[in-house]
Amino acid sequence: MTVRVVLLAEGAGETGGDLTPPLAPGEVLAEGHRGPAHALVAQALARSWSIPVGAVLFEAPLRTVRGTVARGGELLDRGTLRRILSWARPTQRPDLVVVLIDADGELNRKARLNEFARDLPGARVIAVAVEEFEAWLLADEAALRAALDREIPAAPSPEELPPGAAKKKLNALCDGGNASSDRKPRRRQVRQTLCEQASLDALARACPSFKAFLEDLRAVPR
Amino acid sequence: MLRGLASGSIGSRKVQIVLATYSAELLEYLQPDEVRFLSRQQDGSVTIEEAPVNDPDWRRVYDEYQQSLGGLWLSGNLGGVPRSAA
Repeated sequence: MTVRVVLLAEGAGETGGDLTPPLAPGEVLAEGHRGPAHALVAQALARSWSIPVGAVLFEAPLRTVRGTVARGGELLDRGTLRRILSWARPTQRPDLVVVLIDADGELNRKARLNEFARDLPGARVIAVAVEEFEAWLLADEAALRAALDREIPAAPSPEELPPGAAKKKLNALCDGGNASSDRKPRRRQVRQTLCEQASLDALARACPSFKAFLEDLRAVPR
Repeated sequence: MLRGLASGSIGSRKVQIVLATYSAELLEYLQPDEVRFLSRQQDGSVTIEEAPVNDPDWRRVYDEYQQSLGGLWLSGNLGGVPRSAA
């Protein structure tokens, strides 16, 4: 059994797409095309649907009408979101689409995006990380210590950080003691490790938005 | 002019025109069922696809793209976009 999933996320930091040329929509993402968010979503989906992580196959998403991968604010645009959720051939439509975006201080962003796509066919889960994806990565302190291989100071609840602060904090933790030229690969590696090894229970305890994501995945009709 | 040649309104008889293009703009002048989308596969073979105009959901998707065949093609929805070499 396999589950075909398309993950739409705001940036290459989540989906890892800046190292490799984009694949044609529908192509299965091999390891080099997957990013930290793919690892976390695969874990979350495997838990929620009681399937092996290896059963989750990620496919390249549809592009925008300009032929580009939708990023950042483009996912918040009603027309763009509806188009990249509209497959012309039913056989191309994945089993599940996960839209992972940051709240960026907007309280009703999840409801707004769900309303944009409400009448479209196909299963999807729109997850809004409060305030950003990086807050989820700060949530499991044991995994964070292991990924960084050093002690870190105790931190407040990651979802109580103001917009932008979780990303800044995670980058600062990754960068500590590294030359600037090494920072980008180090950040990527730490993110990837965290997404592969973080405890989903720890994330759900510390981040209500992640808990809601797990619940939304469980509620998807199959 | 090409439309006139194909319909017979230009010239003494209808002319069948085969045109290869990478132009999304040109696609805006064509009906979806007039176009075939060619994709090279990893094994070197070429597949030919057409817009699924007979699918019940086609009209909704076409309208979602504001009836822009060029936009639909660039989205990768119809085939004919580069695939990975791996």
